[in-house]
Amino acid sequence: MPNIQKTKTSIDAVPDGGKESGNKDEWVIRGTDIEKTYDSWLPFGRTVEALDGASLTVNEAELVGIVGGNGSGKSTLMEILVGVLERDGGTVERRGTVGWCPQETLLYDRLTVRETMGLFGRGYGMDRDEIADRLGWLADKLGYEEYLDTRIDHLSGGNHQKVNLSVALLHQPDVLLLDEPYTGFDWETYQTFWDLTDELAKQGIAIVIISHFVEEHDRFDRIYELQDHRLALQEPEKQAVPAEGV
Amino acid sequence: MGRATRQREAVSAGVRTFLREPTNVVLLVVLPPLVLFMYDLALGPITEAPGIEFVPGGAELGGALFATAFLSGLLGVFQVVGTVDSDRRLVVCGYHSVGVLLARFLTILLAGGLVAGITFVTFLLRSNITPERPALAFGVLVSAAVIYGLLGICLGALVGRELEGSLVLVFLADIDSFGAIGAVPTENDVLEYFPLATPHDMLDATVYEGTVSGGDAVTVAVYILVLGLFAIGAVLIGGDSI
Repeated sequence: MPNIQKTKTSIDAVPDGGKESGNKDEWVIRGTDIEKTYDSWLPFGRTVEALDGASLTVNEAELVGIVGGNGSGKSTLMEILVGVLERDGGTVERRGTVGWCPQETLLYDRLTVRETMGLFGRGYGMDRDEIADRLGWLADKLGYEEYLDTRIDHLSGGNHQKVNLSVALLHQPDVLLLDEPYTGFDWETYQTFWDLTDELAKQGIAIVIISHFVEEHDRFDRIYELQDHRLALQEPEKQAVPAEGV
Repeated sequence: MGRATRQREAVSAGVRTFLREPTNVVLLVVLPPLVLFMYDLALGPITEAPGIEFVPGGAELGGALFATAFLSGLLGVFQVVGTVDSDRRLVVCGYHSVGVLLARFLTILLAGGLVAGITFVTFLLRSNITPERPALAFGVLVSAAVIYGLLGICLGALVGRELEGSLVLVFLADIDSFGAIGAVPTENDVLEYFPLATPHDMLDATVYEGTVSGGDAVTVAVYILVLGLFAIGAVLIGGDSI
């Protein structure tokens, strides 16, 4: 079963057209008391606790950050919110469509960029023209137009990540879940990325960004921190300075 | 967007991805004749051992079955291990998980069919035996490819690593093949339940007698069905552990 609840009947050809500003009181994704422990079915395998009672709510048009050290369970939380990973306890509710940009670029190395978008776009329920229009816009915006017919395994790390992000943005989802989305970006693309998130948030799209650290604190409505497997809202004064690990 | 369109897109992407991997093409084209040759060479001394009887062409026939099964199994392992995470993303993007697995399986089936074809042609060229029912014999080889392709999917999903999965497969295919052709001097009934036992009997019958036993065909069909269900379960649970 697809993990994305599809409620839209059409996808705007013009990315910033047709969407109204969101209501920050309307939640789009909500996780309550999420528990997760990794067990191995092999004998002598390790058991690792990842999440202990994590709860968060993300509303329309909100930009939410999740920070935490290496191995703190950030990606696990995101995968559970997306629905790609089973949780041991708690609940996850989603409204609308979800776009997921995983930390690892989960793409098919031997497909070209255009073929990749075609494959994922079909999954989203888009037709050929919609995919082409949207891909053209994303490639122009993120600066990889000349690589549309290049195989994924022939792309540089930064362009790889741009395509990874584009897969999440392709269908103009209602909520974006981005795990370290700007890894490998040059400065110009990094700035473009933040401009894009501002644009999308203004259209009402909820955005959750995971990072080791968050530099641009002012951009976020809220920042959660994962520590000792527990998720807590960062205090406002702590949000004003970079978190540990910068 | 219809389910068929998505399925077609997934299969098409799977085949393109597969054929653009040089190792896969080498596996498909070069290895079948090589494995057949080496198998024949390895069996030479065994056929002369006391207590072991081989029909003429038995070694070549066993080699054809082994090459088809083993290479299809390897393709199954590589297909699943190499794509399991990206496939999970496809499911998040709207594909059905069974549909994605079906796309992988169809790619393996296509590749397994090609391996079976190349192996069969090599067998015909190397051996002086003319099969009584060549189409049926080829069909049996394809069924062996399907069985081992599914075994490869299961191993790939459960073991999650190409090297370890391949080693398990080598061990299994060797024991299985040697047991099926009678090179293992044992009366142990367990060998009768190994994956290649029935396909070997069927291949013998189609090549030498031109017949197919209904019971054998049902056994192979049940084997494929059970392995298919097991493969679905293995892929669905395989990604949630460390």
